[in-house]
Amino acid sequence: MIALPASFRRPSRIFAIVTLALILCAAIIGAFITPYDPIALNIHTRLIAPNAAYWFGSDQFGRDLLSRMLVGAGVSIRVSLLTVCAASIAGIALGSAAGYFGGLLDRIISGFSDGLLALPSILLALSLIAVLGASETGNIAALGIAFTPYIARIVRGLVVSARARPFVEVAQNFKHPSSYIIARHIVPNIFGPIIVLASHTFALALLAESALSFLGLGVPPPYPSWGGILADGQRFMSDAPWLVLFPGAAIILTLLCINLIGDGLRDHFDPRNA
Amino acid sequence: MSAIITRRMLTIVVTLFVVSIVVFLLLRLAPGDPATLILGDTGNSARIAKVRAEMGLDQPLPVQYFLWLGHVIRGDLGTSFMTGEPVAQALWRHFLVTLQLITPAFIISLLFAIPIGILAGWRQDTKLDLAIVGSASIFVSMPSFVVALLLNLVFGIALGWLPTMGFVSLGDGPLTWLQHIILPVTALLIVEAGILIRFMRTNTIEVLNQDYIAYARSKGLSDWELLRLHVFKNTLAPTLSLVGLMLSSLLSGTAVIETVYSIPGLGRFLVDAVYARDYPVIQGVLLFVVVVYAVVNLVFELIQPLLDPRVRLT
Repeated sequence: MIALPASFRRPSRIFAIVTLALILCAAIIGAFITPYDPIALNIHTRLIAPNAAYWFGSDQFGRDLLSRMLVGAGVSIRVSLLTVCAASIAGIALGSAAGYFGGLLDRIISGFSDGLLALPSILLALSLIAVLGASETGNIAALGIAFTPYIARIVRGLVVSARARPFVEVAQNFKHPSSYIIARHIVPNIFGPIIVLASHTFALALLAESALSFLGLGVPPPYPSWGGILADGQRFMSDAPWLVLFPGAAIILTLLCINLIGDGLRDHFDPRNA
Repeated sequence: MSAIITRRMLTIVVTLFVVSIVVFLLLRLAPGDPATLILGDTGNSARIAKVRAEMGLDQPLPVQYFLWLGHVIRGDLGTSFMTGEPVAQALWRHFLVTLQLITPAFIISLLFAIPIGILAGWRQDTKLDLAIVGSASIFVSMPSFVVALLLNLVFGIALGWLPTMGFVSLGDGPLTWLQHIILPVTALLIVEAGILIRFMRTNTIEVLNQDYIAYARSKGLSDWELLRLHVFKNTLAPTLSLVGLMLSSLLSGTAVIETVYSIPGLGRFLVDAVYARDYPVIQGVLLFVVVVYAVVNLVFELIQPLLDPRVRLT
């Protein structure tokens, strides 16, 4: 039995960890365990209400909703996780360069990130998709760019305060290269806040990704993400409310779990909040 | 004071400059030549060359940027590829619609979340607090478009009380306006309310732990007076610093909500422009949003010291 850190010993947070783990499993293996073909059309099984054979019912093309949502979990989670990775790598690199070196470099990077932060990230991502195209790569790139300034700004602040600490001065006196000092001394020391930041960005990315695919600008059909399934179901909502209820619940539940775990991580790394 | 305002204005100019570069590059990074994009399939090579010369596309990139910027500063944002209408004019019309959505959403979420957040903080760790915090956590995890669909399902389809799409301007009939905005506004404000409740609760707890509260209690102040005189006043100013963030998230929300409800606002305008790759409109919306954001932030930043003497403008 692994001992859970104190910040996670709350029923709500344990629930969040277990549920998110299940959702991640579904995202990874979901595409292989679909009870029905998620893409093939079948006129005989149109708009079936949830029952023992079709747990979540079927859509207007006769496709099993559960199967589609299992595939969709993979798309939604993959796009948001890759977005977080891309934005974190770029944001940490830019933020630590700005915070560590200061001067003109800092002014340029901070000027750009502050400027971009004045734009709501979803609106920026939307506009970038017009250029990059509504594809999986286009989405990851657009969302990654939209969230980078947010991460860069916070990392910059963390690096500025970490740089002033004695061990960095010692490392500088040893004439270690700056990139080595940043990677070996500074980043590990601000790891906690970065993890909290990444968990928060994960929630924002999932939200933005489902909004984009809801608008039809996400990963193109027939492979749907949850937002896309929701948008499809919207038109048949009055006859088949399950087409909206299940994907909607999946998005809310996933976001809720990520947010609850994020709260736990925040308390864990910042004892003042506990 | 005027020196402070001047400095803030300079910051806004820098922000706008940065965004203008990004927005300008957006069109240049787009696949295809802008002149070809404007003319569509109808252009022959002579016409394309003419348009290229008119737009200054034969000039080096920095020159092109300053040519474009010159037009933008004079309020000329170009014309829409889709409709041929001047972008500035269309922007304003759509913004007036969006304003009729985000203003009520903003005001209602403040009126709703401030007292509830204070209540939760005051009754910290009671069942009431747990219930409020729990619902707020669910609220912040509810994307506005999911809320919108759920509201449509219940109040539009099942109960048939409210229209699930369309928009009537306030000037054209306050009652019909109200009917049409109830669902979209509710969908927009749920997330905001969740964020605000959590924020107010944390601040309230912080204020209640201060020494002067213990002193005020020992003086015999009732809880009501304590909340009204100390907690409310001291949590109001930090809340104002959230205004920019709320505005930003409300504007993000309109892109999706206006699409769900077919409301001809700024968000819908942007989404349609993205579908059509109507770059002048995309550029115009982004620049406009940044100006609105900067102005609103400036106004609230100037109000803040009036409410909280601890905040000094520097």
